[in-house]
Amino acid sequence: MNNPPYGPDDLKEAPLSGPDFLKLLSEERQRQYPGPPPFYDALSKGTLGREIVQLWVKNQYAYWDSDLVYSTAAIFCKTNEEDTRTHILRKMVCIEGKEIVNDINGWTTPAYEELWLRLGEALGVSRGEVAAWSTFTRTYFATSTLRLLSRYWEWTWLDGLAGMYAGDLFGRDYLGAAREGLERHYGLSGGALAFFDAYVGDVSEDIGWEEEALAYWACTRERQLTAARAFRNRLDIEYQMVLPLHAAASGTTPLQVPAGTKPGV
Amino acid sequence: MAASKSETQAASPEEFVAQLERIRTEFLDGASPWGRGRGGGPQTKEQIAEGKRRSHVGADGNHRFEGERYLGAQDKTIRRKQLRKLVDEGGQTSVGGPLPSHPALSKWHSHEFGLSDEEIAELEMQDMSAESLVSLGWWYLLQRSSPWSVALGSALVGEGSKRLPGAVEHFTLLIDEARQEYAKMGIENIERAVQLMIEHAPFGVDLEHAMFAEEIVKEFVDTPELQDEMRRAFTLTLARNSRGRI
Repeated sequence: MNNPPYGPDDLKEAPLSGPDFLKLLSEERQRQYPGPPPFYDALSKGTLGREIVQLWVKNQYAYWDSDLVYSTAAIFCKTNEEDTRTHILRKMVCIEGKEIVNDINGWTTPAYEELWLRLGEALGVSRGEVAAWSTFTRTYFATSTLRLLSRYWEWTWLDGLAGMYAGDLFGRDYLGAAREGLERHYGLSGGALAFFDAYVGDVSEDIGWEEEALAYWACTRERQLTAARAFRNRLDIEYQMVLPLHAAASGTTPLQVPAGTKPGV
Repeated sequence: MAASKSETQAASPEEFVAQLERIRTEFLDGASPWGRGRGGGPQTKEQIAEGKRRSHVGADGNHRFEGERYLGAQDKTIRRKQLRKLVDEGGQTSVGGPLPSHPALSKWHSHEFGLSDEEIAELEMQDMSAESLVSLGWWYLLQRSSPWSVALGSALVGEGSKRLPGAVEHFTLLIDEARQEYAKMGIENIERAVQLMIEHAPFGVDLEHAMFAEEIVKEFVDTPELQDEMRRAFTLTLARNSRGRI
């Protein structure tokens, strides 16, 4: 966020080809975070106590209910390229509930936040407990940063897209693995896991068009440099978001935001 | 000095909407927004094509103001209703539906008047006119910086006017006459050419869009402060839409 601007020396090299740029992003991800966050690793292996899994459900609800909605729509508003924007619009519908367009195509899937609440109920967390939960501060700082970068001048539309791509790769890999862990080790099945079927299915489809758009539009050295930074930023945000849960699982009590704290932007 | 009633007490929903409509009537010197003769009369094919060229300069910004309204909405039900509107205007094709976005429908219209995709793409990259720059700049800032109910309520000026008496008749006539005129001009695919007009007309789903702003104003613009902001936004939007009078 505070980096000085790229100068002539930074920008004198020719841009990478589209495929090479995507390869660079993949290498950056491998270098920065070669494995899952410890929390998701433990969840997929079934080594977390049920109360920690319940904490996860309570703590992540605001992300599905508000932060993901906001950050995606903020990037939509910035996107003047119609094909990409149309894909983002579909993504917004998936987040808010495909049932919104039931009259057009008969879709019935509810919002991610609703499916998340149903996951919570299957784990023994009531809707009231979720509503009353005060998010861990580190998670709140991470989602506030996502909102800031997505909304204001820090990220261009293409940077936002690179961030979205990072978030979707993360979600496909680690929430996909979380689903298997919940089924195998925590006895969940069917409708309780509907969140993962919807979300992981959606982002897996989105990754294709995101790669096409990044390969095409990140066509200058500067666009590639800033998009790669946004990609790394989003990975940082994803890992920071669940860090307090790992701390909680390790016996530390993370700080929480004061009751009634609202999103900053 | 005692504060006046308007400073301390919000008008009732019905009264407040009536106040806004009185501002509109006064602004239009008593005329209906849908009176005959407001369209500027028939145009030649060349005049329509030229108008379309102007309209493509600097590209379409529907997503910017409708998106800002969505982004700001604090009520989940309203936010999702606005998303449904975004789908109608940003393209039902995004979710497997039949209709493309309003910008794409505008291009359909232009194609029928001889503009190619290449020409439209070139026009979209050009600088918009100075008037468009400042009026759109103000419009986007209004959507971004106003209380969310005022931002959504500002649609009462444009789309919301289509709920007023005479709008259905106006659009019915407009589309019928366009079909006839386009046939005389030798337009190849008349239905593609009028599709955007149909989408903007207050029939079916667009009538719901026309009513949406009124619902928002009645339910959520409910304090003296919000009503003051709404009056200002309404008046300034009338000025923005009047083109040439500002």
